[in-house]
Amino acid sequence: MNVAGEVEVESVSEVRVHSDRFGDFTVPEDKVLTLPEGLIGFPNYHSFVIMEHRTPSLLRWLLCLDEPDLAFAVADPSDFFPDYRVWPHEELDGLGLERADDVAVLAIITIPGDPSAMSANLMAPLVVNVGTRVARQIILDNGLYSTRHPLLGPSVQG
Amino acid sequence: MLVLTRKLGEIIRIGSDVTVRLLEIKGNQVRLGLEAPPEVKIFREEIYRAILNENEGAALDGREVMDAAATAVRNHRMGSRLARDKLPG
Repeated sequence: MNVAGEVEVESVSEVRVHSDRFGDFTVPEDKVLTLPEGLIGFPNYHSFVIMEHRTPSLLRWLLCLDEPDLAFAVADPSDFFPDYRVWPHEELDGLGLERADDVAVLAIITIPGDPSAMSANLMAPLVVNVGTRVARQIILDNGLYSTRHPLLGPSVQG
Repeated sequence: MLVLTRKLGEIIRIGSDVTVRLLEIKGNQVRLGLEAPPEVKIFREEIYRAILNENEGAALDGREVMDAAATAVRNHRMGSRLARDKLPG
């Protein structure tokens, strides 16, 4: 299908990624996340990595290693939505999680043409078992969250 | 499409370990009880569809989109902080 992207294992500890769309990345192998079910809509991609942006940012990259031209912006929802909770959720049991400490939660960010209108998908966060680096996109169908929460509310006015 | 008729309380089995039981009929609403192993995820179609569409729309087109978004977040944070600093007291 797409011959542009290729992943080449350089040594035991690093994976070099070339993406026509996003450039070159070097990924420490122990940072690779496994998504057994993939992302919803992308069930065939199981290997991802979270990368910092080139300038310090609350936004990070979720880069697909199976298809390096596929990437998402992600953020820790607690940086933007302090009251956000994924717990309790029966799907977390499938990650072998006992405590909230074992889990990292990321929201996938949708960036429209006007980036100030970007939004976080709080209904379907990515939860990562920090120990095993297995991740799942779970669905919080509890009526509290939608797929589009504006990330940047109005600035606090003086 | 396979079409089956069931009475209240009756069950349809899909494969060896998924069951759907007709629990209640009220007006134009039907309550179903579903049982499946944990690896079989069950979603209401419209919820699943909304998330699938959102994921597809969130796939980045290029680096410059991320750059613009990172700048927007930084400027917004800075704007909020400056505005707060100006508050009296």
